[in-house]
Amino acid sequence: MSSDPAGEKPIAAPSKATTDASAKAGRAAAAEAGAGTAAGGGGWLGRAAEKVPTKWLTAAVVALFLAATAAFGGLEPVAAQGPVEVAAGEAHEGPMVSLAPQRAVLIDDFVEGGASADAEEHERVLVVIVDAVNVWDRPVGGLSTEFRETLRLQPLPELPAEGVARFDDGTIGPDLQPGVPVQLAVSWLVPDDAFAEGDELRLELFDHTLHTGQSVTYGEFWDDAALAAVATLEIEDVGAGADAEQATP
Amino acid sequence: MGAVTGAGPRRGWWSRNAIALVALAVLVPATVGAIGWQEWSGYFQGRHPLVVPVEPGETAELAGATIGPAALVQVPDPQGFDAPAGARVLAAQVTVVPGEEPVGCSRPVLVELPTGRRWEAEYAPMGWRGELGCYEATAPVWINAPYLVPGDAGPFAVELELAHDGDERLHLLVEQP
Amino acid sequence: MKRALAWLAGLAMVAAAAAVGHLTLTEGQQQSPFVVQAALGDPAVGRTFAVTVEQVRAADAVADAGGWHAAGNWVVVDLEAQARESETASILTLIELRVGEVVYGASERPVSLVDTPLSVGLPQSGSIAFELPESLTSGAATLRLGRTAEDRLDSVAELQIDLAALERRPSIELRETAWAQ
Repeated sequence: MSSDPAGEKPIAAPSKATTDASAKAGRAAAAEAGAGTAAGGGGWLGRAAEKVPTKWLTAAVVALFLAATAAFGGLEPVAAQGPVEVAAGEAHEGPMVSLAPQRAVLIDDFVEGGASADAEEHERVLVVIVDAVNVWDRPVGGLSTEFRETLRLQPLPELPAEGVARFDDGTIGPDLQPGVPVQLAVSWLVPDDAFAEGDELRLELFDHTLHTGQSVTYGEFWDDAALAAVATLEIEDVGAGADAEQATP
Repeated sequence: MGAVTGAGPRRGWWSRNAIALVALAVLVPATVGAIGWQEWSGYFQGRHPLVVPVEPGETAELAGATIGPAALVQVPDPQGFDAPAGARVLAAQVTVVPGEEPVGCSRPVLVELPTGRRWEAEYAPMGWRGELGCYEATAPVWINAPYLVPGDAGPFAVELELAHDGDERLHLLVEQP
Repeated sequence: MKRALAWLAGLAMVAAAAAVGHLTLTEGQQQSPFVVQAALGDPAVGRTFAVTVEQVRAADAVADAGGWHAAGNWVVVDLEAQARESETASILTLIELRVGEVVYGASERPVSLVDTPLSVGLPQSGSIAFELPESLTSGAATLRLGRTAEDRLDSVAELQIDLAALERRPSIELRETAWAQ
């Protein structure tokens, strides 16, 4: 197109002129408008922006951040809230369940409660009788991971409860219905030399946090168990337990 | 074009794009093949087994085993079954003859042909003859599986699937009891 | 004039966006179960099961045919249930009573219709018991029955219950699960 002789395309020249003219007119108008705003009352945003002392802005933000941090205790570590001490029979109310450990019993075997010990493997059963109330708004399985994670033995923190049974009718792995109190026998398979008659059992009670599923997970679930309370119970050894009403639901 | 040999860069469109064209010729079928294989293999693995009908009194070969003939009979003395009033106790009887390999088969399922309703085999009472399924069988097995069905249900086919061959499922057509 | 038009168009677009945001179904609504409203004595037919709730009563104690018994605040549902298509995994695993936001599961303590596989075309009769807190004796409750505990996008039979209006007995023996007559 540029190689074409101008004479052959008479339209091109006038049209170019027109565009130039209109562009010039536009620029002039813009300049006029700019002058107008600088002098007049409009364009308040631009003028306000010009007045901001950008030189000090960064420093001001940093100062504000530091002040806020200091107000919340600076970079000091948050004082860790230690677990609450709970006496035998006293309830610790967590977000999911309220638990009141009553007593601890050492027994040779506890098949009725869902924990069968192998004497040849030097196993015995430690049973904790605990009054429980589900304070959540839906049933909690007695043998669910989250419920078994709420009760742990301090000397054997990694050992999960083996059996959870109702104390009254012996239902193994009962569902805890919301607001319905239930006495449970929670049992652990323990080495036979780990506990003895008269020992003080330190029973740890954990609180979970309720999570709501997002993107690939769905529903509500309990996770992030954190130590919230420690109960101290004196251990009673009932031997084989044949005449021990305490350990036989 | 041959005349203008001096014009070096002015080659034909085809020869200028030769590399791209060769790449295209390789990549297009490769893409179609890869995507197609991916999709179709998922389809073949995930699809329901093909239902193969077998005429009454006939046998079928499946994974080397001979299956059939099949029969469906009314159990004359359903005392051992706790059957409700108005229900029938039927027994599906299928002979399975293993080939070279030991054969495993599911318990047969009774399928109501017009509706597709499916009944699972009941547990057989003491003294019941025959097997409910087969497991690593090397000798012929006589399957005799009992079902509780409503009195007005039917007609039925006996459905049987081999443990190692999930692709095909036999619908053994039978004389109705 | 042009400026006013631009403002109008902008506002209209914001309004349209807000409307779309409000009218679009939430994920929960898109995946909500297909509710079959049940009425006492009438069959409620879901995709894979059919139930007929025959009576709902309250009791201060329940017993089962095997001799188990327990005091408490119980709601007992007598019903018939059958499968419609298949006997594979045909247990009603969704059996719950909703009171407001609180969900009570069917009690596993007595022997009941809970955990009974349903038969195709052959209804079984039995009971379901719910153990509620002592104080919960009034209010609106919803009995929900379904084939799977995961109730999204499948049939759930629902029966509305007024807890205060329930006939209350000192003790109820649960039906033994048997073929319906």
